[in-house]
Amino acid sequence: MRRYGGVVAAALTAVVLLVMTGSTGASTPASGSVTVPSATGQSASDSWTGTIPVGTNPTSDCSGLPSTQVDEHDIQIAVPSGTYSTLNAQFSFSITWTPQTPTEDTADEILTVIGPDGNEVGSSDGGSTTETVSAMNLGGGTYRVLACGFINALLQNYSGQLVVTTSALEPSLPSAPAQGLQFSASVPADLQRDESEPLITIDKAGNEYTCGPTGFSQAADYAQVSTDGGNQFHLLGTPPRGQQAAAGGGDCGWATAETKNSDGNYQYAYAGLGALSGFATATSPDNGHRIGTLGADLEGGATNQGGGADRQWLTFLDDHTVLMSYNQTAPHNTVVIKSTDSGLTYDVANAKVGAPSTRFPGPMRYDPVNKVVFFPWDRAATGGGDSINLSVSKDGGNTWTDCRAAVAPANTNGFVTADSDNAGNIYLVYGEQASFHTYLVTLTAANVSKCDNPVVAGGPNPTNNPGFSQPVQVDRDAVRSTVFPWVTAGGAPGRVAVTFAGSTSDGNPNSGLFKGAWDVYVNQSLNALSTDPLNPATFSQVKATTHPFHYDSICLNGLACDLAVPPGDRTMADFFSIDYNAVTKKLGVVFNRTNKLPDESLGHIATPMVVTQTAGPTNGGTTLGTSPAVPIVRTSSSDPTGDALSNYSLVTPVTPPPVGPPTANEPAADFTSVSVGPELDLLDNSTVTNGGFTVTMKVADLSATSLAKEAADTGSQSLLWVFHFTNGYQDAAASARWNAAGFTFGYNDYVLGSAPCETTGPVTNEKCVIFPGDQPIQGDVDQSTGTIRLSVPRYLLQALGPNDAFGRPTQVPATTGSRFFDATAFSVGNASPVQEVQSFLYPLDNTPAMDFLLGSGAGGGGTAFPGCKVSGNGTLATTGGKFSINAHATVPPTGGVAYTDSNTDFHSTTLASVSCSGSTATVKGSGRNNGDNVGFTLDVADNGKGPSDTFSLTLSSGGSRSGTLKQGNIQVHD
Amino acid sequence: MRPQRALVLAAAALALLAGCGARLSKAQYEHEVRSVYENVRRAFRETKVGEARLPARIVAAQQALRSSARKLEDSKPPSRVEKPNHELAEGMRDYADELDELRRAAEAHDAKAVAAFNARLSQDEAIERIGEAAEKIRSEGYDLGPIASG
Repeated sequence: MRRYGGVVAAALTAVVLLVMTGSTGASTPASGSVTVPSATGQSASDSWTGTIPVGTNPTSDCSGLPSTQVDEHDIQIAVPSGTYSTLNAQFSFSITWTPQTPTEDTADEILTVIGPDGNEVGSSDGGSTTETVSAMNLGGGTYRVLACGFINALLQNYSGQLVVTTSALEPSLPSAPAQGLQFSASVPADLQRDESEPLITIDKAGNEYTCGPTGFSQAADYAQVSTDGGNQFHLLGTPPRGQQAAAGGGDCGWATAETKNSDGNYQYAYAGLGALSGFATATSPDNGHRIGTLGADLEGGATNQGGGADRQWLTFLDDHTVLMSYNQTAPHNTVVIKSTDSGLTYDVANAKVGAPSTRFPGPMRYDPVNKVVFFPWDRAATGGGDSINLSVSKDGGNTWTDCRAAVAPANTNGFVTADSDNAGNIYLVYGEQASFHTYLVTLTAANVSKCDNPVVAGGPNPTNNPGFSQPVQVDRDAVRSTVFPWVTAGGAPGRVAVTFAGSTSDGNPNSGLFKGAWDVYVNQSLNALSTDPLNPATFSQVKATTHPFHYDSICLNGLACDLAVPPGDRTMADFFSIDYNAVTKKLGVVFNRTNKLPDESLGHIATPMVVTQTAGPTNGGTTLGTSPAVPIVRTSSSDPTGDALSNYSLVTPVTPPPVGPPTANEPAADFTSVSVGPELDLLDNSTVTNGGFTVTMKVADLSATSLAKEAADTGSQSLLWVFHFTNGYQDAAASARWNAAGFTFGYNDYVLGSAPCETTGPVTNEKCVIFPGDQPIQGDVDQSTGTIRLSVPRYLLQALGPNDAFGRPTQVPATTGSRFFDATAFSVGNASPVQEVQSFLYPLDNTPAMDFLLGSGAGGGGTAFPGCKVSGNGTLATTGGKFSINAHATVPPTGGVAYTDSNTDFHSTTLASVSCSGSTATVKGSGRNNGDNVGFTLDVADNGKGPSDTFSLTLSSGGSRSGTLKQGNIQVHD
Repeated sequence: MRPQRALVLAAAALALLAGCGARLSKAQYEHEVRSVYENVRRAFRETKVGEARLPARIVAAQQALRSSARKLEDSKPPSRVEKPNHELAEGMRDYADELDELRRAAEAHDAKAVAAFNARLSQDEAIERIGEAAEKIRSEGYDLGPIASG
C-alpha cells in the first residue's frame, strides 16, 4: 500500500507500535520447487507462509537488506530444455496478508524476487494488502522471494504463492521438405577485420565478393574475393590492411558487370560512404588485382536533385555502365546517378529521383532479360503500417515509376530486398516489427510494366498494385522471430532462397531484455510463383549455421537502441546477405559473427562469415544431390595448391594500373591439408589419455628459402599458421609462429585489439581479432615435409551443452564427442617478429571450414616412451603465467619447456637432464628469456588433477615463477 | 587585494573566457561530442535493473542527457556546426523531458507502459532530432562516433 503523504506520520506510529522485535528470516517451508509444465494450458504452483520482520525500508526494495529484515522463501524453478520454443509461461509471485496493526499504514509490505544470476526479476510495493511480481518465461535456477516491510510495525504473517501458467505460442507454418538442402561450416572471409553489414556479390564467372564497412571513423570498407566458390577469400586493396580507396567506412556498395570487359572479366565497381557527403569509389577490370580509385567523398552527395548521402546500392547495366542509388538527405528522396566508366565517376548533374522520401531503399537490381532496373523501398503508410513499394526503370535509370507491393503491419525488420529470375519475374521479401515474421510477394514479368506510377520527388507512397501476389510467410516451424531478410533468385522461375536471422524465442528483439539464440536460416521455395490456392507457395527451412551466431537482442532502431530503457544491441548493424552462384549452382551467405556471449549487452568484432550450399535443390533448377560431397563434420580438409597469394591487389589513383601487382604464390603459406585427431604427445606420438586434439597442417614447402621468400614478399618479420575454431561460445586459435629465431607454438581464446588494429595499450575500442598465442602448447615442425603439428590439451576446450529455457546452449567443459565448429587453418604474415605485437596481419591462404569432434583418444599411434616423462600445460595461480612442458628422459633428453607472463617470455633450447622421483620431476637445461640466453631448472609435482599440481621455474637470470595451478594439469610418468 | 575583490575579478575573467574563448577545433569538438554521448550511453546501460530501481536510474539518464546538452551548448563548436550542435543539445533536452512519462510508468510498476514507451522509440521525434543533428555534423566531415552511426 502506498500513501506517501502519510509516510512520516506512519513511521512515527510504527515506532510507537514497536512492541515486538526480532525476525523469522525464513518461510515455512523455507524452500519449494516448481517445474514448468511441458504442455500448454497447465499450471504449477508453490505456496508458503511466513512472517515479515518489523522494520522500515524507504527504497521499496527488499534486496540488499540484512537477513534480519526480510522473510525469504527460495524456489527452485526447473525448465525442461527448449520449453519456451513450444509454449509461453507466465510466472506470478505474490504475497497477501491481513494487517496485524490497527491501520494498514503500519503493515505496508514489499515483495522482491531475485533471480539465479543475482539480478532482480522485479519488486512490488503497491497500494493494497497484496503484492505481485510477474514475469514471462523465466529461466531455471533458484529464485529468492523476499518479503520485507516498507513500514511494518508488528511481525506480519503472510501467505506467499508462485503460480506458473503455460499458454500456447502463436501457431506456426510447417516447412516443406528441404530435399537435402545443406550448407558448409562457416569460413571467415576475413580472420581479423571488423566488417559489418556484409554484402555478398557473385559475378557471372563465379567470383564471390564480400564487402562491408568498418566505420566512418576508420575510413575503410573492407572487401575480399573468393575465386574457388567460397572456400577461401583474398583480401582486396593495398595489403596488409586492405583499403581500396582513401575513405569510406560508412556503407559498402558493390556490383559486378553484366557482360565481360575487354580483359575477358566481369568488372566490379565499389562505392564507400564517408561523411554522408559523398562516396569514395573504385573499380577493377580483373577481379581485384588492378584497382583504380578516386579520393574521399568525391562522387555523389551533391547533385542537381539535392545534397547529402546515405546507404548506397550499385548495379551494372552492361560491362561499364553503373547505376548508384542512395538516400539523399535534403530533400529526402532516393536518387539514382549514372557512371559510364565502370563506377569511378558519376554524372551528378543528371541525377534522377528513383523513389520519393523513402525510409530505406533496398538494393538495386538489373533484369537483363527485360532490361528493367528495379529496387524495393518502404515508407510509413497512410493509415498505419509500412508501405512496401517497388521502383522500376525501363530505360536504364533515366525515368522511374513505382507501385505498391504490400503493406506491412509495422516498420520492416531490415531492408526490403528484391531479385529476379532468368525470366524476369520479381521476388520481393520484407519483414515487419509487429510479430517479426518475414514475407515474400512476387510480381510476374508480364506485370512489371504495370508498375507505372510516375515517381515524383517528395511525392506520396504509390497505391497501385500491379499484380503482386498475396504475402506468403517465409519463416516456418519453430522460428518465432526473424530479422534481416534477404532474397536471391537468379535462376529458374519459381525458385528463390531467402536468408534471415531466426530465433525460436518470441518477443521483441529490439529490447535489451530479449533472450534467445540466433541462427542463420535459408528458406528455399521451389514454387514461389504458385497462384493455385490448393497448392500455395511453400518454403523449406534449414539452419545454415551449425551453432548459434548471436545471442539475445538484435536492435534495429539505430540511435534509439542506445536510448532505450534498457538499451538494445545494435552491433549486428542492419543486414547480411545471400547470392546465387550461377557457375557452381550454389547459394552463398555472408553474415556477421560478433562472438557475443549470452547475457552480454553487446557483441564484439563483426567478423564476416561465409557459408556455401553443399547439397539440395539449386536456384538454377537442378539439384546438388541430397548429401554433400564431403560431410560437414569430418577430421580433415584438403586444399588446392597455388592459392596462397601475396600482392593480390595494386591500387592506383583514378584509372587501374596498366600492369598488375607482382602476385606470387607463397609455398610456405600454401596449405595442402589440415587434419585433426586425438591429442598426441608429439615427442613419442603416444596418445594422451583424456586428451584434447592434435592438429596437423601441411603446406607446400616449409624450407628456409620459402619462409624467407614469404617474409620478404609480405613485409613480415614473422609468419603464422593459425588453426581457428569455435570453442564453445567463442572463437579460439592454436598457432605455430616462425621468426628468425625459429618456431614457437601457442594457443589463445578470443582476443581483441584496439582501433584501427593495435595490440599496444588497453583495448578501449575493440576493432580487430588478434592471435597472441600466449598459452604455450606443444608443437613441432618437419620442414622437410612441410608439416606443422600442434597439440591442444583438453582443459582448454569448451563445448556447447544443453539449451537453457530460452533455447540458448549452455557452455560446458569438452568431453569425448564434443563438437567444435568452423575449423579453418589460416596462414598470415606479421610485420612484427613478436606475436604479442600484432596489427593488420597479411592473409595468404586458408583451408575449407569444417566441424570436428573431440576424439576418444583411442588408437593414436606411436609407442609411448616407457621411462621418465613430464608433460602438461596450464596457468599458474600465483603469477598468471602460462606454461607448457613436454620432456622425456631419453639420451640425450628431448622435448621442451615454455613459460610466459607479463615479464617473462621463456623457451628452452636444450634439455640437459630430466629426472623423475615418484610424482615429482626436475628438468634442467638452457634457453632464452626475453631474447637473452639463460639456464633453467624446473621442479614440478604431479599431485593429481589440476589445481594441486605445483610448478617452479628458476632462471639463472633470477626471479621466481612458482605456485599451484589455476588451470591445466601436470603429469609425471616415472 | 582583498579576497572579495579577487573573487569578483576571477569570476569576471571566467565569464570573459566563456564568452569570448577560442572555438573548439574540429578534433576537440569531436572528442567533446563522443565524450558526452558516452556518458549518456553509460547512464542508459545502467537502466538494466529491476522495477524498484528503475525510476532512479531513469532520473539518472535524464540528468545525463541534460548535463550533456548543457556541456554541448556551453562549448564553442566550430562555426560550421554551431547550428546542428544546438539542435543536438535541444534534442537531448527534449528526450530527457519525454523520459518523465517513462519514469512515471516505472514508478507505477506499469511494465506494459514501459514496454510501450520503448516500442515507440524508433519513431521518437526527439531521438530523430538528435540523429538528424548528428548526421548534419557528420556530413561536414566530423567523426562523432556512435551518435552519428545510426
